[in-house]
Amino acid sequence: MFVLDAQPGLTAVLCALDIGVLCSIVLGVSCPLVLASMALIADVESEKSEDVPRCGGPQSSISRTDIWSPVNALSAGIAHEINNPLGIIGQEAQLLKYLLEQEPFASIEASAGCLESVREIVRQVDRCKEIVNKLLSLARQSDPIIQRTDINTIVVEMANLAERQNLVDKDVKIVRSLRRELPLVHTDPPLVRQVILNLINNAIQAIEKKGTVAISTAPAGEWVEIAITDDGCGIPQENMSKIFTPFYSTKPHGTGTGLGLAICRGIVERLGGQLTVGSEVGKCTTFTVRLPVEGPARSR
Amino acid sequence: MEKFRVLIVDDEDDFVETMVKRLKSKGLEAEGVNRGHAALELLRHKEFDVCVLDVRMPGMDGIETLREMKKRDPSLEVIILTGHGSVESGIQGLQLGAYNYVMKPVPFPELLEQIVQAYERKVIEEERRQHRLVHDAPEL
Repeated sequence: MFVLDAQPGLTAVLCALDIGVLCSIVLGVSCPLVLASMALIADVESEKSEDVPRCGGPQSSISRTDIWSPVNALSAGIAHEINNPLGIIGQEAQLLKYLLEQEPFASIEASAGCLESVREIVRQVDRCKEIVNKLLSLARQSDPIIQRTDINTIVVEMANLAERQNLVDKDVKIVRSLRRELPLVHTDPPLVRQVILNLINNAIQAIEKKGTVAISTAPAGEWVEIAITDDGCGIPQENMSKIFTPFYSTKPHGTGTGLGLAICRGIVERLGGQLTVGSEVGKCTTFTVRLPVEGPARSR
Repeated sequence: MEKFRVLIVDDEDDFVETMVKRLKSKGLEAEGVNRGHAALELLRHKEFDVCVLDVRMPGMDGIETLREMKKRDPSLEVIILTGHGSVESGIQGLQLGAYNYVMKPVPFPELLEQIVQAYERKVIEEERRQHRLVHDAPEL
């Protein structure tokens, strides 16, 4: 029961151009297994990030570079072309909605149906805007702006944000294991925030009812590593190579765009780092971000 | 501290007033409004370096305001404030180019640090732009 959440219009365009990057992936499909070891992790700063479970299993190592430059160009093109008409549709729909809520329309019985239709248009336009944003984010090639960055602070901020959200029908515990002696990293803070928040969000969504998301940081030579592990149901091996491909999502139709992980990998590579994943079906998934302490080569 | 310009946008008037006062006491130029539309209107004739923007406001919300701000002036650094955790809108805000997404209540020194870092980023970007202008200029 994996759900492919491709956007039909864009899928058609991509297929027509024979980019050949579309197929289905599984991520975020979840099952209620809880790793017993995870429950033992203290929710405090720890000196030893070795305590935190890392998911082994098959690792994904597909390179993004080969398949991406036509996708990037196309994404930017489509997004720019669609942005303006979308903006106009949105504004006109908002105006229509406003008018239908005022007299004389408000007191006409038939207006209620019209109003509901217009509201749906507004909702769908918002959804399209979100997809366009993501496409632009995916295609953005501007150089990162490098600042000395405390990765632990970013992880704490993003974990706190995720923890404070109201999860409906879910009980997710977020545990942190941050190494105090982590060096400051020359990187682009808002881009790192975007990656971490996206990965935490994915991890939460991979858990169906009750589970744990474990986040750890650790120095690794000239790198800093951030690992995000969930005890959701994992990713089958046959899908490992596809999960960073744009437009794949297993989230219920209409809720995911299938662009989050593609954007994350794009960002991490622009920062001179690597984003890898390891997963065991029925057990866990770990996404690991490695960032160079000295920053991307070009900025040194 | 180098003097730069900060815009506070929040529908809680008390918060705006206090923030503006405290930022001014630190030697910064600060101004505040309580609606997204008012912020965009102000930005039409006045430049700012950093904006602190509440996500939940009546009328135009923070995300929509951010989208418009970035469209008009991509170099304006924006820190989003949120009273409730919303990962989706956090991702959205960062994707639209926000510098950070900060949970309320935030102690003033912490917010000030974020504002200073956001300004540093703007300065780096500006220097880079100048550098490009000089190096990419056609030789006469």
